[in-house]
Amino acid sequence: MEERIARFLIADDEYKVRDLIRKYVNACGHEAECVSNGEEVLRKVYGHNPYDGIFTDLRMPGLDGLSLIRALYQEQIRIPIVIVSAFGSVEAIVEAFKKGALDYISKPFSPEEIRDAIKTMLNQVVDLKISSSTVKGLIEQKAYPGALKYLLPLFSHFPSSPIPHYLYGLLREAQGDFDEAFRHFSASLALDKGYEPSAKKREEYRPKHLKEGKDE
Amino acid sequence: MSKRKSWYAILIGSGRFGARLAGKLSNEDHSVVVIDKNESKFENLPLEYTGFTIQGDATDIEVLKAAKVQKADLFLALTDDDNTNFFVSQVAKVIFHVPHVISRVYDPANLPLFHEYKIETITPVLLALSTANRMLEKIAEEEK
Repeated sequence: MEERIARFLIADDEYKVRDLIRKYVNACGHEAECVSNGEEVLRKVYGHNPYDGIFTDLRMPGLDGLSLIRALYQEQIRIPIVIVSAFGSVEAIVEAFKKGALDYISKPFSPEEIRDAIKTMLNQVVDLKISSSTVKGLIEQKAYPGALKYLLPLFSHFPSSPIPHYLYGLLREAQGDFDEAFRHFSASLALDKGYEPSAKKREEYRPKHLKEGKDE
Repeated sequence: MSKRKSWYAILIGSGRFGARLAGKLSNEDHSVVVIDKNESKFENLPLEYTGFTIQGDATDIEVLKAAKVQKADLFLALTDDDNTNFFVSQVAKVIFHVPHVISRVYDPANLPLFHEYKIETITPVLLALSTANRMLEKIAEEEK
């Protein structure tokens, strides 16, 4: 069993399917909430996202799965997403993956497939957390080349996350390049306007930049 | 992790027996897929059935692949035809290496063939005989 109790959101218009996924999520020691369409998902994650991942069907009445993935992408809401569907054109699945979907499970599915998807979603979160704390530790120790070595791959592994830009901002700040740091805190916020560490940093920088006639 | 493992079970045939067994397995939180050539047979499934249904001929390997037979923990061939049950069970066992394959066998004369391929069997005639024997023994005991 995973040490941490994670929370998942399950979107499927078929009651029996979402209930089956919920049972397997619960069997892994995690919590799950079920909804029947994309609009309900957006309502639940907008502003503050309490979930570690979303299982979504593609075909649902109202906002379908692909439209949901597009909306989450446009709103800069980054959550690991796994599609669980019996249908789906190659084009739809390719677009879903481009916009951040992690995996695709076709129906019918085995309990093992749901367990594997949970691991995939949680590993993505854990990997970024571990890498972040490593980079922060290296910056504190003034081991800047080492921090940079750990940091650069995060940009390609997590292109839609605000964290790599935030960490790069911290690194440039520690090296005394405040303009570059400010740019990266702003870039981080462009990816996720609700990312608090970057928002705090940018507020610290803003008066100084305004005084010097600079802004982002 | 759950106390008991959830199985991925595939049932061929949604007759009265297959449909009831599918309902029981899904009620126990196993992931169940029922395959039947005749879509109307799915009406036999109980209301509380939470698994999947596939309308198709299970002797077609593409239908078995669509059901992800390679991931199955349990495969039950429950049609009313011994030849079909033997064929699909053999495919599940030999080609897809399903760990547990159980087949319904109507004619007890066919049992050696199934057992030769290590397919577990349910034979209604033998089960009825066994029940009848127990009842007769009980009556005989009471008359003593």
